[in-house]
Amino acid sequence: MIIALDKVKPIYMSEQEISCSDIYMNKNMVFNTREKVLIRAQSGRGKSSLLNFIYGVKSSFDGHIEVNGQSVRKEVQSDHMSYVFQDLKLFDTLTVKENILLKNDLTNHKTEAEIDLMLSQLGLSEKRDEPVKHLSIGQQQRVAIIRALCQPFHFLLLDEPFSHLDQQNVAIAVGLINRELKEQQAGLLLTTLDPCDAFQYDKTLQL
Amino acid sequence: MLKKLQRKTLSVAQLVWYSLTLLVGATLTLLIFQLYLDIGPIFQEEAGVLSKQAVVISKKISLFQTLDKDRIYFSSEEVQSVVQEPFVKSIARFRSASFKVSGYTRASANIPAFYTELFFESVPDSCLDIQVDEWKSSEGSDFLPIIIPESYIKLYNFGFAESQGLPVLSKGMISQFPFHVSVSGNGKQHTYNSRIVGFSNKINSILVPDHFLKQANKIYGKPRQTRVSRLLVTFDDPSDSRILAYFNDKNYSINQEGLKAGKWKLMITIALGVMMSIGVIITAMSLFLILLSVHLIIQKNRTLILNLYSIGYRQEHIARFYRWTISTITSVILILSWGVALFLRGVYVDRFATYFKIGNIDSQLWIPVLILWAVVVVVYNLLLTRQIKGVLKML
Repeated sequence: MIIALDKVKPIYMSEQEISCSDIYMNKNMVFNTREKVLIRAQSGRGKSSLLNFIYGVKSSFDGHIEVNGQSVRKEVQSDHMSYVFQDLKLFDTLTVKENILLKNDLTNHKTEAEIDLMLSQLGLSEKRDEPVKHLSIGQQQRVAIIRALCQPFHFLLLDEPFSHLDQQNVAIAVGLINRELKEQQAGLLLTTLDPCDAFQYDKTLQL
Repeated sequence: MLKKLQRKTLSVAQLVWYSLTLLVGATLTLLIFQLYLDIGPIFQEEAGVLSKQAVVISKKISLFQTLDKDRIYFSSEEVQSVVQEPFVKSIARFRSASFKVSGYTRASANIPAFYTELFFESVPDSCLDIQVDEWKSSEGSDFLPIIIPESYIKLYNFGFAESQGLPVLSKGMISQFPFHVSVSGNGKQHTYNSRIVGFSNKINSILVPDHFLKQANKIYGKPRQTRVSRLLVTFDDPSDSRILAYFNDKNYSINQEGLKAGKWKLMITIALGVMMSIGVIITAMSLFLILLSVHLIIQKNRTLILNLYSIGYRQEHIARFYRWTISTITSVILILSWGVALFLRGVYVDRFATYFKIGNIDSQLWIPVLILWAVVVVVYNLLLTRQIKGVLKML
């Protein structure tokens, strides 16, 4: 599977603002599945926007984005991609387990035992029946990561996924993600503000 | 899990209000619809019977008419104008005897002698409200059958006989009583044997067969144009509300007994119409309430819907729960309304059984139930889909 970007630019940014970008306004920017790509940028450079454009939940961009030859403007790419949103998009009224099951019910990708194992690996076993609104941001980030792994995908999009995690939890999360990427032979697009050497990247791009 | 999440977005109070108002509105609408279907045939039946009967119309007699008798007659233009009214099926004129008539008996052991001057009128046989065998068979014979108004006997029995100490008479006795009728004019005279053969409730006159009067007028009558003071009118639908309005407008006197059904039909139709409108308004308000409630739910839970969409739930998935909930509630309430309406129908059929024969026809309520259900579900689903699409467009 290929994600191809052609002269993409957020409509609310001028060409001058993105003149140094490796991605925006690039004529033929291609991401291949099995590829791990780190996208770095300072705050306000459109990191989340880029992932939202690719995932198909936002279409306020000029240029063209295709996933396997199909424009992403028409539909959310949840069949091919999984996404850890920067704002996590968890459901406050549901518990930790319920938030994960909400996704897994749709895909039937993991068994309950596998979900429980991931929760335990990321130290959330005791929180599984707590409403997510009672969790810290770091704990919520871990729930969002587990939820993102509960579906088949060709690309995993991570938008500043470890911003509130300690090194130990980052390492565990990276382990889980790497295993899933390997099993699914999928690619990774990770955006970050700070340098992040959690993965071995095939490409590091400046936005 | 999606159900659990979405269940929390519903407002139980709003759903209960929707259910109650829909129950009241739909029950009222269905009940009135059924009542209209049930009593409609009664009016039709009554109208059917009455349409075969003729109604007598004449001009109202006021002080002016008593001074100028010509005013009681219908001109040919006036007759024509009645004929041309769309609700008039046919008209027949009264024929009057234009010769001298007298009735008498000779004294015998059983019957006292009497002599009285009489008048005769006739109407076409088809316009009579009673069937008498002697009426036609008398043609060419010396027997002259006579029909008198039933009110004459009542007048005699309860008025005259009472005050004069005379015996009361039954219809049967009067019919047995033979007498002679003498007709004369143009220097000719003839005596007929006669008997009262029937009593009319409708035509207030002394009637003889039309064929007799037609012939007798030629032989004994004055050679003058016959004038019409009374008309017999039959209607396509005697319950037509235009009939009374027309005759009142023309200031004609009409036997309103036969048109009572029309008045009742109009009044009951208006009453049912008002109640039906109230039922429809309550139903419409309940639908408005639930549509407003759905609108508020969708708007209040915009973020939730957007997040569900973002994690992979499609528009159909998101709409399914609300669609299922409202469709189920609506279906249950409509079935309940149907049951309540049928039960209440049973109650009024029992109550009305003394007066009318209703309830024989099968209930047709499933038709409006189905229509109402289809309208509600279609409108609701369309609006729900539009609302959710509207939210997703915000992405």
